[in-house]
Amino acid sequence: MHIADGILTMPVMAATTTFAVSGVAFGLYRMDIDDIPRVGVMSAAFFVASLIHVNIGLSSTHLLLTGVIGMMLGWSAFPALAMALFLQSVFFGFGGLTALGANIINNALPAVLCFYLFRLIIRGRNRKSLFPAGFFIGVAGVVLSCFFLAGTLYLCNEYFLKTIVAIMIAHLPIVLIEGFVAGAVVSFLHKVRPDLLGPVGQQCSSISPHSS
Amino acid sequence: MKRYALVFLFGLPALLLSLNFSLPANAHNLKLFGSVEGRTISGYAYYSGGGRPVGVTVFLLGPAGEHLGEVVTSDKGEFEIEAPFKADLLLTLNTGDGHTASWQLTAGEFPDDLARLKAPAVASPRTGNEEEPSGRTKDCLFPERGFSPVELQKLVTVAVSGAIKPLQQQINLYRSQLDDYENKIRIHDILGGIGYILGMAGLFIIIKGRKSAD
Repeated sequence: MHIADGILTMPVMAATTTFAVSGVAFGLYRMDIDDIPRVGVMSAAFFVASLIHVNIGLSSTHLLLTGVIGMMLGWSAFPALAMALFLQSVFFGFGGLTALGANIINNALPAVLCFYLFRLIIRGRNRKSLFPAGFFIGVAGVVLSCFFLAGTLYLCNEYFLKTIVAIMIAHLPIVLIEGFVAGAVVSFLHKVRPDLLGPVGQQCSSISPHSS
Repeated sequence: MKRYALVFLFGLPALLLSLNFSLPANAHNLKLFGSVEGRTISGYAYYSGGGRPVGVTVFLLGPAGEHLGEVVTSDKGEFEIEAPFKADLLLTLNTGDGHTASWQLTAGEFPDDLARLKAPAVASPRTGNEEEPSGRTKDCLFPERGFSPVELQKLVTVAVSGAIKPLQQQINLYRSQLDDYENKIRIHDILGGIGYILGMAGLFIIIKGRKSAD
């Protein structure tokens, strides 16, 4: 989910950078002092998640954690992912510095959408377990990220269908893994530390942790 | 409850350390490698985390970025393409999913007799030296055998390039290993990155804390 240097055209680069900077600024503005440790830890988790590789067939992909980060951080996903993506770019050459804005959008915007999607799913429902909701969000995070990536590339090379098919096939194993990871994280944190779930923690607390 | 936070904070680097030693913990980064033997440029593309892009077009570009040829990578991500002339050439490929890589070949890697194949627009003054229609050309070093210096030079070139071929292959192998080594992710980079992120978070807490105290 990292676009390298030299792929994006100038207008796309300028637009995505502007959007990313606004997102990061808004995320920082909304971030409370109590949120910061969680944002830092999730940023670090995303930073290392890319090292966990899944090699299946011809493709080689890595974990994204978009869904988990979205659920736990909300709009703070923007500053968290911006920091991690910047360091990945500088240390490992994952994604180019010129494409940093696009990479932030492709990862953080799906995370924010996941946050709202998760709130929508669990609102007013008397669920026994949060696992299915978490699983769905984990899957949605990767799928949305793939669509955003394909959309960004489409603005530069005009092949959308071919690109999205290739990207989705490559990320198929990741989709399932992310679903399980997100489901497990949400149901575990809900039981032991609902406050770590952040913005959605309060909503989750209306669901009995011991009912499952 | 603090225990959970501690487990989370210290568990992460511990998990990472175990991953680094058990898995090929490399970046998902596309790389391209090329080497020259005679006129032929051969090479391969690879993801530094393992795996090779198959069926992707590799482009050969001239010094001014002009398109000189293209070739599709094999099942092993390998390719071979003929160089049309001696110059600083660039190999580049784009997998279409946001990854791109390139490899620069310098003119010095190509044999001298390739200079004649140079495109007219970028013809070098060396082209004129090849014939050398001076009096010396006629004075053969071995008149009884009829070798001219030019022919002799060709023979020597062929013999030398044949003799150093294994050495050249060895050097190419080392070059690709060196390239791979340079791009390897190291544990201190990972831990440094985590430390940087957590440090930044701490800094934000201090700044925000001061603001709320005011």
